[in-house]
Amino acid sequence: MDRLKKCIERHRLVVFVAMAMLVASLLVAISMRIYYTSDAFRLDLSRPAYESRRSEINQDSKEKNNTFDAQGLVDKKVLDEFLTMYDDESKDALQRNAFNSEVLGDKELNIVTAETSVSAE
Amino acid sequence: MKRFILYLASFLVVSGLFVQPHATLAQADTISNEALANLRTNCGAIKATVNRIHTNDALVRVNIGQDYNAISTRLMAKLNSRLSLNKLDASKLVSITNEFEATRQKFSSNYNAYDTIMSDLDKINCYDDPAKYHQKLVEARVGRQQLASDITALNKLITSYRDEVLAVKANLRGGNG
Repeated sequence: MDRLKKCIERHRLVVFVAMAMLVASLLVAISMRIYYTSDAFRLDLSRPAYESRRSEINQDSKEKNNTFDAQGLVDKKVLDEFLTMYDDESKDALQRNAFNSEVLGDKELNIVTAETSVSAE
Repeated sequence: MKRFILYLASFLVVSGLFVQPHATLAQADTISNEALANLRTNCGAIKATVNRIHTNDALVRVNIGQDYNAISTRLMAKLNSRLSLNKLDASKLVSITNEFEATRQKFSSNYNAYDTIMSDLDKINCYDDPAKYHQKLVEARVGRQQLASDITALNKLITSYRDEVLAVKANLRGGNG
């Protein structure tokens, strides 16, 4: 034990660097675990594969204009204002034809051509 | 012995009733040899297309998630709260909002499942094992169909909420409630 203490005192800087690296590695391991278990990695568009597509992410510029106040009187004018904001915010969502299942079809992927056919068809 | 054969025959007939539908379902996913050969020949191009779709899906998921989140937290929740503070009946709107939130959660977990399938699909070598690749592709299609139906449900709820706000507006007498 005394020899260990002496050794640590003799190589303080090395021990300090090693401990710092150990703590850093531990924190990285914990954060990576949280990153994967929380499914955050699925929505992380900062990954290199998305570099060219990043400009297509909605910047949410409507945030300031379309925030409805949770307090105050309610009359027809207020509800009209709400509906204007609501229509503006929901327009994109309603128009988007997302996750169309046809894009993964055998024909679309050229697995089945005019000559070949899947037995189910 | 006769009784044993009778039991065995009955068991086979009854189990056949349960097994047959599954066999039919499995058959629907089978792929012809020509299609398998096509899959192997175009393996590189197919994988590239599927990867592109997967990349695009993440982008769509983020954008659509932002839209739904804005509608739910910045508009629906706030109007419900304001109506309640004014002692107006917002029970139908609250019910639609709750259903919207539940469907949003379902969409989120279905997307995670779909994303896992797409990642698994990327790991399968379609040149070495085209049948396994196709089987996973069929799973991905089912997952994608589920996402499309979740989005249809969410969009219906957005429309229902709007209609209900119009109904509340029609019941108001000019000024404040």
